[in-house]
Amino acid sequence: MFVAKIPIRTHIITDRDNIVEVARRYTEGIAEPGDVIALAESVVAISQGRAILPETVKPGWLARFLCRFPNKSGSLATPAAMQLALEEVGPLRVLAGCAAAAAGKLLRRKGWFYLVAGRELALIDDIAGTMYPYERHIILGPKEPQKVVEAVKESTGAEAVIADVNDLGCVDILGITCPELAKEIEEALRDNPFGNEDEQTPIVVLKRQLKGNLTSS
Amino acid sequence: MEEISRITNIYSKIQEGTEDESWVIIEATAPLVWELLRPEPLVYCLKVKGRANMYTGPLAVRDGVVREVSINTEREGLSFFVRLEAPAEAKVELQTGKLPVRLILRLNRSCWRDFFRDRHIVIDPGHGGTDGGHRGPVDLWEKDVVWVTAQEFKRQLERLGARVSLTRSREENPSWVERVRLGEKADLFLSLHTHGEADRRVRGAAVLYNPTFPQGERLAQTMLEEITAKTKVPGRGVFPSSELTLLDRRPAFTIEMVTITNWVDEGLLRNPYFHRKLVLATLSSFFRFGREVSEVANHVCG
Repeated sequence: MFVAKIPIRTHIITDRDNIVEVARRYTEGIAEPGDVIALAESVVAISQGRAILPETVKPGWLARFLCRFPNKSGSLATPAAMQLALEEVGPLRVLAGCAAAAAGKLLRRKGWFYLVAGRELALIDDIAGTMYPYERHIILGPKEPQKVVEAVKESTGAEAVIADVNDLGCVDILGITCPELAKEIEEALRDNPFGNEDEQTPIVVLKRQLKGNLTSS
Repeated sequence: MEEISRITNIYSKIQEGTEDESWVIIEATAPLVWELLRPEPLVYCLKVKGRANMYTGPLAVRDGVVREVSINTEREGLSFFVRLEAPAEAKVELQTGKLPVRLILRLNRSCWRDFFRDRHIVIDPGHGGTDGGHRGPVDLWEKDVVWVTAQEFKRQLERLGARVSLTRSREENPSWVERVRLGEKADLFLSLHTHGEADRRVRGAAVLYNPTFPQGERLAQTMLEEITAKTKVPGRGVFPSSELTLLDRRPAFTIEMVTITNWVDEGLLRNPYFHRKLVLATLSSFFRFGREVSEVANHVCG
């Protein structure tokens, strides 16, 4: 059970940042062994150079064709995002995902595209108009999230997690050093303490114990 | 955790209530010792003891009362310089019952209500019915997105005590003459549109003004400046509109909030915060302009 969650305001993370060093620097003096450092997945991805300007992508005919089918308010609705999906997992997996999605539609089941084509495609944030200065970018999911959280734990002594959280209360954990706490972490992050829009808090420390007379949040 | 208070976050929000307030909220890991100063009429300085564990770059607020917060790191703590758009009374509240501890600078927004109360404002959501206007490259239609923005204008203005009329319902498409007729006795006529271009690389916002209204161009410049600063959409410029001259010498404007035919600008329209920011920026520009004009008038008239 977490007794407090502390969002930390950071500078705008770029691909010149080392996310492990960023996590260590901002949580120093706050996160202790047993606490959990939660990192927003999009910021980890940005630090890995996975924020892509759509004008630098050359969509092929297959991307232009396939992008007509997904939900328009979701990801992969633009040719550039679909092209990046094709490059990420290969055309065969994307096409197999499309076939699964078509079958799912007949059976009124959702989510079969990502089940077959790959979970990493669900992490692609198409041009979403949020999070300045990355509102013009397509942001792919982070690479090797498990390795990143293990490096954060080694550097800070605290547990670490990378999570994808949205304002609808959906929490997707991509990497975690303390899987036994996964359910508690999901609950703690459900109200999206990473913030949105102008809030700039991609790091949140989940405290397991407090010193002094403070009560929990 | 160490004894010294670690300052971890700063953000702002408009706290809606019977009396709206702008809140600047500082979060920390332990109770803070603070002191509030007012070195200038439009600047508050909140001195706080503690150590920054956060980024101490400026916080751009632009909510019509608070413009920006800049942060100075000093030997024993931090100084938060809160720069205002207009004079506002402030009080400080320290919430220590939970972690993080919150130090809240609460600024009264009654000057906004005083400015907008009882003004009659006509909001014209462009197109409608079978006329969809421009279409985005994915699937959004101009008539639908301007409807969303119009609803947000109505909500915010009515909260401020203004009288708001819309020129159409969701699926109507009245003629331009019918729309303008509603604006003939209004304090302000505001038509909402998006721009469209065959070239999908073109993006940005523009403001069109009634050239027969004496200060139209200047106010349009102020509007565009606030909109681009708040929404981060690039500006395409301000232009006179011959259509708006039907409202002879009255303040009438058309906001082309984005270029919907651009992929990025269409993406912005999917973000519900965009509409809120656009409305806030537009109302801020009227408030700022009104204040500047009255200051000049006071100066000239003594």
